[in-house]
Amino acid sequence: MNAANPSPEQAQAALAEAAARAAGVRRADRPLRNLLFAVAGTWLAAAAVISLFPRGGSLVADVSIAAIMLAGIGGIVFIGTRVKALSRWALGWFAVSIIGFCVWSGLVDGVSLWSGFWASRQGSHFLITVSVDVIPLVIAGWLVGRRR
Amino acid sequence: MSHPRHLLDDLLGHPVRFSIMALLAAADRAEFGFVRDQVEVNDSVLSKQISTLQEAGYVKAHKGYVDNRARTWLSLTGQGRRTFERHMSALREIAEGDGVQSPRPALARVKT
Repeated sequence: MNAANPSPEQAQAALAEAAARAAGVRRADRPLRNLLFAVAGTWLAAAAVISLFPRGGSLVADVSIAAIMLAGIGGIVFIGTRVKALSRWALGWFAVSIIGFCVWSGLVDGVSLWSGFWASRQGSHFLITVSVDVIPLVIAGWLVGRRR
Repeated sequence: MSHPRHLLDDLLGHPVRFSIMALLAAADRAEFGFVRDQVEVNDSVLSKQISTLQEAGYVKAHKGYVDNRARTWLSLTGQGRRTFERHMSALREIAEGDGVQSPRPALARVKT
């Protein structure tokens, strides 16, 4: 290839090469999907335990929740160390997803409390609310996975 | 109007350097081993080309540690990003300049 004066075909080949390299970076964003699902999964698992022991004060529940949180954090750190490259889109999307999750879950939890949906000894209600809480994370992770 | 070839960057005429810049332009940052595997070169070739790009002010390297192992992360500088964008614009103009239309959407615009 004449680098100083490429032909249209050579320029097209270079553009195709750039597109292929960009696609490689987008594929490398996929651990981000696992990261978002790991956060959602940790939240849901902890909520499921709380729902099983709505009265609280159970050592089994306390130990289970601690174990779930430790496993969740460990999993998130493990996935994080496997990230080899991140696109600018992925970094922005991750930040937007987490902020969206915090705002959305605050609203959902607030409505649950205000409406009386959450009350003492209503075990499954907590799990239902948390299932709604994690919707933004699941959608965000799904969209990352669809990106080609 | 001058020919778009005048906007091409001489340094990016080298295929390996162009591939490195194309990869880093799509990334916020990328690990050295990832770049090596994607561009399909060995460590020494990549190191040499990265040094050339660093000397030109196009690429910066940061050292980090994961699992007590050293890792080098690469990213484009602002100057590197601007130079690559200008180079890509020139390539697009050349590719379409004689009426040849891009057969694939990816040729029209590289998604980042």
